[in-house]
Amino acid sequence: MTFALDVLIPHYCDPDGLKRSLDSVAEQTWRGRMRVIVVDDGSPDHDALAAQTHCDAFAATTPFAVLFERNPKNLGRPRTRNRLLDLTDATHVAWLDAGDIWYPDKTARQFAHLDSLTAQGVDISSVWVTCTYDWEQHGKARTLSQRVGGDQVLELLVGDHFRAYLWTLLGTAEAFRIAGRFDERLPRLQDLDYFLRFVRGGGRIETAPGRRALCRYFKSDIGRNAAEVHACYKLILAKNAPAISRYPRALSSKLHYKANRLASRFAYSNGDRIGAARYLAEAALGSPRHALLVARNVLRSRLRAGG
Amino acid sequence: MSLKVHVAVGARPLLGPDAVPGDALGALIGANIAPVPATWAVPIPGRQTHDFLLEPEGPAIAIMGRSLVRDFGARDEPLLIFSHLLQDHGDEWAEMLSGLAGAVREHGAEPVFVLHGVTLFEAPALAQLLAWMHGLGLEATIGTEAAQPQPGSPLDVALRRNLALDRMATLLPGTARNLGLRWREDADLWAPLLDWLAAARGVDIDHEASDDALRELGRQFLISRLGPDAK
Repeated sequence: MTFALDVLIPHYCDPDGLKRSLDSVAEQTWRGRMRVIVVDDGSPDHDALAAQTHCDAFAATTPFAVLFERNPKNLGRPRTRNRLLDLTDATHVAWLDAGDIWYPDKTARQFAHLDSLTAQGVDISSVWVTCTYDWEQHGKARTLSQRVGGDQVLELLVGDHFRAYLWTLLGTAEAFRIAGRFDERLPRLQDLDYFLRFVRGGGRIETAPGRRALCRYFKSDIGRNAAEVHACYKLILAKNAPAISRYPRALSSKLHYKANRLASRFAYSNGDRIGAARYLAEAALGSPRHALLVARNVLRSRLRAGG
Repeated sequence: MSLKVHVAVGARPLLGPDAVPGDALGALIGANIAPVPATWAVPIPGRQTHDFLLEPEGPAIAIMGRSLVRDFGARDEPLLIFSHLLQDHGDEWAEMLSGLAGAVREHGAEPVFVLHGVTLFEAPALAQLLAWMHGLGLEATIGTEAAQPQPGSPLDVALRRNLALDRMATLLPGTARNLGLRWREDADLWAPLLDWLAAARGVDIDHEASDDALRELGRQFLISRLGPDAK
C-alpha cells in the first residue's frame, strides 16, 4: 500500500513530547492514508521503550500506520533525519519534531494549498508548503507568519520574516528530493542548510494562506552548545559563500554578526556568561557597522518604551 | 483497491442554490462519510457543492480524482454533493463522471459510486439515475433511497430554505413588474439575495411560507437593490 503522507519524526529522550506530537497528528482533520515514521536516536532504554509504547498506542487508536525504528546509538539529528528520509516512500512528506504539535487542520490546509497551486498551473513537484506558526518560549507564545515573497535565498539567510523550520513543511516526495540529504557535519541548524539547498536547487517555498497558525513550536535554548551552533552557522555561511557574494557586502557583515549573536544567546541561556560576552564582543568587533546599527535600534526602542 | 465515492443527490431546488452544510449531509447518510472539502476550489468553509466539477476548463477533475484517493481512506469515505445530477444528467455530467472515474483509476483505485437520495418529501428516483450511470460504464450502487433530516435540524432548515428560494425565483418576476421594473433572468441574483437574507436579521424563510409572505420578502429585496429613493 502506498501511503499518501509520511510524517517524519526524529525522537531523542522526550517520550512525553513525542506523545504530545502524536496526539496532535491523531487529531488531524485530513483523512488520507497517513503513516508516522519515528526514529529514536539511541535514547536510553527506558525512554526508547516509552516512545515505542506511545507509537503502539497511536497505531491502535487511530486509522494511521506507524513505523518505529531505533538507532543503535546516538547518531545526532542530521543522521537520524537522513534515516527518516531513507524510510519514506509516500507520495508526500511532512516533518514534525518530538515535542512540537500540529493544529488539527494543518495537513488539510497544506494539501488544499497544493491543490490550489496545481489548479493555477504550478508544478508542485518543486514546491514546499510552509505555514504560519506559534512560537512558544519561556511560557510566552507569539504567532509568526512566513513571508515567502521575494528572494528566498536572501530572506532565509536574513531570517527575520522567513525562517527555516522543517516542522512547518509539507510537500511532494519529489520536491524533498531536490534538497537531497541533511549535511551530517551540521549537528545544529541543519534546517537552514536544507532549506537553502532546496531554494538554490530551484525549489520554491509557498505558504498556506491565512493568518492563523497551523502548528506550535516549543522553543528552548537549554542544553544547546553555543560553540557547536557557532561552528555550524559559520559552515553554512562558508557553503553558501558564492550565493552570499552576489549581495551587497553589508549582508555578509550582518550574517557574521548574526552567527556570533546567536552563539552568544545560546551561551547566555546555558549560564555561560563569559562565553556569551566573548561572542558578543566578536560580533561587535567583526561587524562594527552592523553592531552600531543594532545598538542604535535597541536604544531607540527602549527610549520609545520609556515614553 | 476499490474506493467508495458517496454521491448525494436530491431534487434540484433542495441542494441549491445555497450549498448545504456538507458535514450534516454526510452524517445524515452514514457514519464515517465526510464531504470532500475542496477548499482549493470552493473556499466556503463547511458548505459544499461539487457542481464546479462541471466547469470544462482547468484541472479540477484531475485534482479531485487525486484528492479522493489521497485525502480519504484512512478515516472516512468521501462524499460528493451534486445538486443537479438527478434532473439534468446530460452530456456534461457523463463527461465529468467518466473523467472523474478515470482520474481516480490513474491513482490506483477503482471507484464505486454509492448514490444517496436526499429528500424532505418524496424519494428521488434513484433507479433511473443508477441505470444511466451503469450505461456510462460506471460502477454504481444505491446506498440510501431517501435520507431525510431530523425536523428542525440545521440541515432540515437549509433544505427548506432552498425550496423557498426556488419558489421565490418564480415569484420575483411578478413582484418586479408590480414595482414597475423590467425583469431579466439573472443567474447571479442568488448570491446578493442570499447575502441580503443573511444581513436582514431575523429574516428567514421556509418553503411553507405563503406566496404573499415570499412576495413581500422579494419586494423588500428588490427595493434594497434599487436604493433609498425607490418606492
